[in-house]
Amino acid sequence: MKKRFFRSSNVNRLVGAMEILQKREPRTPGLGLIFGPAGRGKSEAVDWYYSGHDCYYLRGLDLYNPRWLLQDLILMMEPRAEVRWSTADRFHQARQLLMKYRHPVFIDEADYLLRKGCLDVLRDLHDLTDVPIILIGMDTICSALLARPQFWSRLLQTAIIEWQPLSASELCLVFREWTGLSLVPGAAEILCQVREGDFRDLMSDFVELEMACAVNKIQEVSGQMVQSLMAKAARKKEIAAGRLNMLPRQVRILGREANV
Amino acid sequence: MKLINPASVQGKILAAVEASTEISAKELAELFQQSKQDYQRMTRALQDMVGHGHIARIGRGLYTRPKTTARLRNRKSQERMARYAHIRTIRNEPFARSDMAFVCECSDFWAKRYINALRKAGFLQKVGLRGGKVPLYLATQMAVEMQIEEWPVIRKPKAFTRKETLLLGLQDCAARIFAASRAETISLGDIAALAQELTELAVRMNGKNNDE
Repeated sequence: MKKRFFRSSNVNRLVGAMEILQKREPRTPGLGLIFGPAGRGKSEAVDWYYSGHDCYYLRGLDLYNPRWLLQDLILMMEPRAEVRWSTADRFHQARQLLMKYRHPVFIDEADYLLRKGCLDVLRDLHDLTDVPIILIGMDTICSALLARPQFWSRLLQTAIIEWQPLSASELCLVFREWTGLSLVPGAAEILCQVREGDFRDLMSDFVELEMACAVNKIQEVSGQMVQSLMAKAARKKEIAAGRLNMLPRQVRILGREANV
Repeated sequence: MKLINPASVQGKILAAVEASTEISAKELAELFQQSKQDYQRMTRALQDMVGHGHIARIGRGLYTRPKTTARLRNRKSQERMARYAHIRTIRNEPFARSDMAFVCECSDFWAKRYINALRKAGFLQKVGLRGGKVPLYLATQMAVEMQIEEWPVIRKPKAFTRKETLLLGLQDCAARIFAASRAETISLGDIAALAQELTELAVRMNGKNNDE
């Protein structure tokens, strides 16, 4: 199997949203949001976009407070900059740098920014500079942001991207592109339903299907092959779960005995 | 952009250009004022620096420091790879060569070449193996503290190197024809096969030109 980057509909929507965000009129909403469960290729798509375009990337941290966030924003834009001491100065420094470069900023793990007022700092920076800021998070972030109407109203509606699972037709295309074999639409639908767009699971399925095709010398994967593969995977899962339940529950607290 | 050692000829030229708004080749020659060989070395260094965007030529023999940093001209794939290495390092996710080629949509050959160049320059380091076989890399702290535009780039193989390879192939073919003629066993078929070989070589060289 030879992996190649696949421009799915999600990636196309990301590219389209970024174009709209960058070419929009001043003083119009310019925040973006990308959300979806893990394993659907969000990070790969952002890596791909980042490697081909001028933009910044920041990973959110659990311990972030506004002061630390501003520091990392400044160092992200100018790694050798001297970060000022006071929070107000840092804010102005970050604002000046954003105005200078005007590149969009991706903030990953944005779920961590929901606390300690970090989100409000981003909102202020966006209002004062008009630079697009795109938050990336899990699917819970959407409901959390809905509870903040001031922030939600600044999100551009076309730039709110829910990372959806691959459709059956896309899956057929990916399979053909990566393995050189064809997948019957019915089989693709079964894969879509069972795997729910998780790329990690799909990759292992692709490898197994490719091996099965090579052994049987066939060029097309049928629905029956996929069904048997899914049954095998489910059986493995059950066995693993059974074994986990069979493990003896031993809880040892080291050091406690010595103290007692 | 290529890094410059401050102790080298290029480093001295850069210091001189930075000290004044513009500087002529004559002034630079006076600065070095040594043998003819040194002068030639200086002119070569000047050409190289102009090529890499460290200094800009503003007139006949007049040089200045450009206001903006040089972009990686005609080296889109290298810029993509540098940015990819950067983002993976920020996330602390080591990457393999194939990952880089996959996301940056470039060939494995280019990814390998660029990774080797970055490792030589001290911008990448090996951090482990995937499955005990595939080496994984991360950018070094020095690289992360630099703008991506300042990361080193690989230069194209020079034109004369390609010509030289072609010429060597031609000489080889000629020698074989000559040897065959001396032994009086050459046939038209042999000549045709050699000509075919030569054509293939030329096509391969042209293909390389287009790719790179």
